[in-house]
Amino acid sequence: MMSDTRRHPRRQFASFFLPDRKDLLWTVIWIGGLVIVWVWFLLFLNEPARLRMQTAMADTLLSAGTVVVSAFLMGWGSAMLLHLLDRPKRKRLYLAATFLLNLLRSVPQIIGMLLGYTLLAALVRGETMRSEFLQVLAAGFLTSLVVFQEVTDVIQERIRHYREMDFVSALLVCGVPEFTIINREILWKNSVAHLVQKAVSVFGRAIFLVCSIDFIISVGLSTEVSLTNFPPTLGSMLASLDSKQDILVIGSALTEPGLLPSLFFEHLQGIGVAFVTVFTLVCLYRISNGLVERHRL
Amino acid sequence: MREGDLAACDDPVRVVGTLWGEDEQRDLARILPVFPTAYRPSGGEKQRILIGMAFEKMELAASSGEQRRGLFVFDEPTGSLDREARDRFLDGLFGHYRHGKGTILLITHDYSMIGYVRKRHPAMEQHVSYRELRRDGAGLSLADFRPADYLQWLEGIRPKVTKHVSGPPLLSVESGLRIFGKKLGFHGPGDSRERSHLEIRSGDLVYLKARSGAGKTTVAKIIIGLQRADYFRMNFDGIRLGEVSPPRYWEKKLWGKKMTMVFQHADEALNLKSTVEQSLAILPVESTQTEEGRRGILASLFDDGSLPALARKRVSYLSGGQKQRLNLLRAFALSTSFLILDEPLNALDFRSITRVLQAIERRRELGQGILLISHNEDIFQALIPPESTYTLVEE
Repeated sequence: MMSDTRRHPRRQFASFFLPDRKDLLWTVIWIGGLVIVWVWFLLFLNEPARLRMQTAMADTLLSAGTVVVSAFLMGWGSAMLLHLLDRPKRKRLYLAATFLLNLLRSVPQIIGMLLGYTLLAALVRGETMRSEFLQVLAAGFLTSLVVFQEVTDVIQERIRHYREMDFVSALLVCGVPEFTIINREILWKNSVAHLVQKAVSVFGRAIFLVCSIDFIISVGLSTEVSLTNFPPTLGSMLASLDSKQDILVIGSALTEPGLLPSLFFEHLQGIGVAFVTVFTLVCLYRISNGLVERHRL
Repeated sequence: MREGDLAACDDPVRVVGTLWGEDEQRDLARILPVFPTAYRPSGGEKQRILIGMAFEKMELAASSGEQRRGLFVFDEPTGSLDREARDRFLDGLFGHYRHGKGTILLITHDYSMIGYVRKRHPAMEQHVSYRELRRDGAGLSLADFRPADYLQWLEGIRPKVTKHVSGPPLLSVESGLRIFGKKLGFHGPGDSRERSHLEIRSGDLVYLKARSGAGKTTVAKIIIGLQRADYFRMNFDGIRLGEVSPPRYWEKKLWGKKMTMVFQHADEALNLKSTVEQSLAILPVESTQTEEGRRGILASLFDDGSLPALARKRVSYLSGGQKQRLNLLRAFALSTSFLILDEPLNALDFRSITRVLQAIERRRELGQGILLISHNEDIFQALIPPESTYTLVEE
């Protein structure tokens, strides 16, 4: 017998957002919110500021996307390496690799990124890296160096979970290579939800780190690195003088409510950047949580 | 009552000891403190504990005045039990029934119960109604099952005599292997109480039996190289192997090439996220790399008409019997010289049992050495001659 949702298209549409699909609901909210903000900018933000905003948003998303791809490649590579070394005869190599990974993990992410940005600044100053596109990719790669261990941990945990199961032993005794079992049967067929959730979480973390580092640089922690060296991102837009002044108006609006409408029409750059950043982070957090709930991770 | 409640029970031995013989009480005392730790109690021991708890549930329901209104469902209760434990289960079940403790729905593929009921509980036959669930076109239907059909078929089974190939055995495992603080050995062949090596030649079908919890699956896993024993010695295809042999040797030289194993629980031995076709395509043999090849393999244990749809089905959507047949076919598709079958008839209906036995016989005729582990003594003692039967014992 046909279910109600199959008979009524409207209910079918609603069932797409059932409580157990919060990740999809928040993805729609995020994309919809960004579209509305962009239309608002189109109507009320001056063109130079709007173009800077668009570039900053694109650079931030590209950088965060690079972090995800790079962190997954490194995370997968290191997990495979550790698995290969986890044999009685290779115990020393395994310990050395684990020690190196833990050493990298022990460096606070912001400090690691600052060191990376110093290197990047040297490359930009020496004109070794002129292309803005390459600079964004390089920033993403450097960020991934401090987050890929999380991906390694997830992959290792998935392998450990399934290693004791009969289906892995059954495939092994059929002569199926262990790497095929790990990559096809464990990671691809049984861990996609875990990996997608980790990718969303790494994506959000990358946006947060890129914005944070740009903001830290803007207050002058390093003489080597300057915001003017790098392509604009949401962080550097937030740190610009115009945006700071716009954000300060929020404080004034609390005491003078008459200023409130001007926040949405006259101080759009700062308010817009702050909103897009916070809104994106909240949505990604909700998407990640939704995935955890839906797939019971 | 749930599994975890056993710890809070005043007298757990009384509750779960129903299916333990007098000589097995020591084993029960050893298990109770660790239950339900995953690895220690064997499949049969866990099953006996759960049955004991189910009987207690029937008692509790009766004492609360709910007798005769209760319906108790036992789903494959004897799948991991040896013959003695199965007999005790049936005695206990009929005992509860006679005392009016409810209606019982027993779902099982264990046809050997039929013979026991006829022999030991003839008076109960009028109370037992045998039904078979069948797939009719798109739906399911219940049909009468004639116990006599099974008993006649069983009587008609004749042992398959192996024409021994001269030369050393393909596999020889010495008695005295040690694991989990236990020392295990082999008695046989046949009813002999003599300590011996477990020997299997090419084209041999050897039956290893033991009482529930003795460690049959553990021995199988030691032979196949998945479990490391504290001490063991075996010769396989002229190579001497022991507890110090590197596990990589099995992985590189033996698995899938010279030996393989069918695990007893198909549900756990198959990747439920794969399709039937994918479960075969992953095997490192040419015959499974083409659609025709895979369909050919499936056709040996499945009906032709259902093959295209079956091949695309996810393993998780298969019935227990279909999973078990796929589990067996995966091993049959490999051309190994040695095969271990751990409870190959689990979850199979009568028709599938006859097809699987024919398939095993074909493997044997092709020269494969087969070690068979099963609680289904009625069938395998009839099928396998005493000179190819060994008993695993704790020394």
